[in-house]
Amino acid sequence: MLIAVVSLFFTNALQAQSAQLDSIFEQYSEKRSFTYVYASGAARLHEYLPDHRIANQINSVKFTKILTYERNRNDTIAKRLVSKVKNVLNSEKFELYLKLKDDDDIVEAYQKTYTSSKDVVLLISDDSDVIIIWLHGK
Amino acid sequence: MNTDIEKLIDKYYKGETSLDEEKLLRDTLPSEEIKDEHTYDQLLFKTFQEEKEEQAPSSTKVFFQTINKPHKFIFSHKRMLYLTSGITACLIFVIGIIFYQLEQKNAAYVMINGVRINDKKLAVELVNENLYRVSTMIDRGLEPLNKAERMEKKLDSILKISNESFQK
Repeated sequence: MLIAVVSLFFTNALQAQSAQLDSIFEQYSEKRSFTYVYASGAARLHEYLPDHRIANQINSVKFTKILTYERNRNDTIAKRLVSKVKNVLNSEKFELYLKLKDDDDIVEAYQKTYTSSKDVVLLISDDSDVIIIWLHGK
Repeated sequence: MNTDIEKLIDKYYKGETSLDEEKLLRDTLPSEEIKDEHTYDQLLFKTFQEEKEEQAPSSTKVFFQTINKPHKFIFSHKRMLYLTSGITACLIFVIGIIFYQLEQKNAAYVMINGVRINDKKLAVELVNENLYRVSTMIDRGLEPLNKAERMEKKLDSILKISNESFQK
């Protein structure tokens, strides 16, 4: 039993990630008008994000979580979601390493390094959608 | 009565006797012919002698024998059953964790309006679609920066050529 508990402890310890961010994704994934995608394993980052500023931040992606909300449905909900995510990113001391603003399009990229893993969060907002992409890997 | 014994009794009441001397008193005084004044002393040492000879009750003996006995692990059927079922439960638990982790590694799903769709292909498509979308936005956003970098490179090569012609 002790071995089982110890192994459980170690598997959880190895998966260090933001619990608050996880809770936001879980909470909004069950709401109407939201699309949530979870995919484990390597995302084709280097293919789709040729820019070294993002793709080189994270090597082997363990999982990708994407939360999408159609802004035109209710702008207040979209703003509230962005504010919640930003609060978590600030409180958990994520580093903002890229910010782009082009008309209504805003892309913000945050990162946080743990002892054996890394989180990269992309916050995308345009006139139609709000997209939050969370990449967890090494 | 031996005068040495009398001296020893006096010494005993003064608290000056050694352990050997006390043993001597205990062993000899009860059987000695004594003066009347030492009747009480004889009785006292007789009691000490009797106490010494008294055996511990059998129940106490059994108790001490039991607790001092080296513990032997006996493999009874019941005990074996408990042990094997405990080990099996632990193994199932650990294997369960491993399978859960493996499943999590290969999992991919989509939730639309709170409804879960276990479609790996769709999930991967949506991930790639969103990453492509971000990529396009980043490319567009970084276009001025890229232009500036290209211009800088061109300027560098122009400066290099002009420097070379100037040296000639």
